[in-house]
Amino acid sequence: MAVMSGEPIKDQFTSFYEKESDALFRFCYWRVTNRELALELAQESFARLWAKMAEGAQMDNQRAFLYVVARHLIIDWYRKGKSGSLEALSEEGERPFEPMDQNAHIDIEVGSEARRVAEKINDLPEQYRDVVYMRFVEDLRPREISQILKISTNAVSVRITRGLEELRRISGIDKK
Amino acid sequence: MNQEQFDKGIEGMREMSMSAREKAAMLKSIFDAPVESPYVRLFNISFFASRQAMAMAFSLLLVLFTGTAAYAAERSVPGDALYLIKTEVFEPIVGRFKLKPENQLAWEAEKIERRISEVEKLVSENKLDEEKVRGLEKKIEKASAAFAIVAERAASSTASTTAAHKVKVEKLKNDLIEKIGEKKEESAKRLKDAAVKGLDIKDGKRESAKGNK
Repeated sequence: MAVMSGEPIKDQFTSFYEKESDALFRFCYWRVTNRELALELAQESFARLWAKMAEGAQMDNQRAFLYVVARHLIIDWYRKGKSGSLEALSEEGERPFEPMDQNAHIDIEVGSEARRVAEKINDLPEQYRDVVYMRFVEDLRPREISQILKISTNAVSVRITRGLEELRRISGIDKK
Repeated sequence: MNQEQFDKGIEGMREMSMSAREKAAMLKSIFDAPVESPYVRLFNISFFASRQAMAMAFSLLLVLFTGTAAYAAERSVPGDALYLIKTEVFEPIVGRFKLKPENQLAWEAEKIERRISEVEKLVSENKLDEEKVRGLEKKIEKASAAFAIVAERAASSTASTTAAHKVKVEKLKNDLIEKIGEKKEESAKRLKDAAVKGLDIKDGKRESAKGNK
């Protein structure tokens, strides 16, 4: 674990934050559909990344770290009512997302189409949900998604294809 | 939902973003939050881990050293480096564990027996000199004094045992003094012989020198 001087790391983090903050906020928002909560989750994710960077941890993929943290925080949030220990939930590892909370507040600024598509994406099986979201909303390439989710590029491509088919099916979109 | 609505929905999802104010406030909150110093972390984990390892290693070494030293010291005789450890460290420690008066008496007697064994060993190796004799005499006096104190303490409770030990210790003490006395006589005789021999050699040399002249 190398310890680096403070300022270059801060600059590096700020630059990364400027680049990724909207995408991470969006990722959180379309999972919890609550702006304030999404802001909190995004902030917590970045704060954990900053803590790691500040202590000098060598990170191969900061974006992957950020999304893993955010996903775990979202899982914790969904399960918070059922379990008192969020820390314990995080330590148990990766688990599938819970279905979207039907009572969650939907931001009034969001268009009805966006809301409907988001709901359909959230209805997808867990293995397709993230890849479809990252591919179509964030416009990430399969290689970038594979780095974030730590699965092979080939597996990402397969999941995108199958996920899209499933999304079309549940959304009632005809194949062109 | 048709393709157009889907595409519009995706576009709408992409438009979701933080305001500039939210973004700036979030970054400020992240930097303002206390971050654990890497040095504190190093201290907490590595320092204590190393201290723990060091303590374990030290304990192991201590046990090994103590065991080896105890074994070596037990075989030492007056004049050896470890003899002081035997008589001034280990024997008092053993003595501390003798709680009952009769055990204390037995231990004091055993200490005198140990001194006798040491004298025997020194005699057999021809290493008993005046200095060692003086040292042993002091130890016998000390052992006798200790024995007397213990015997007095034990007299009321175990009179018969105390009397038996007194007799035994007196005998041991006499044996030891006798052995040292014998050795002294031997030493004196040897010195006398050596002196006579030296004189003879001297005389022989003188006579041969005269003959040469």
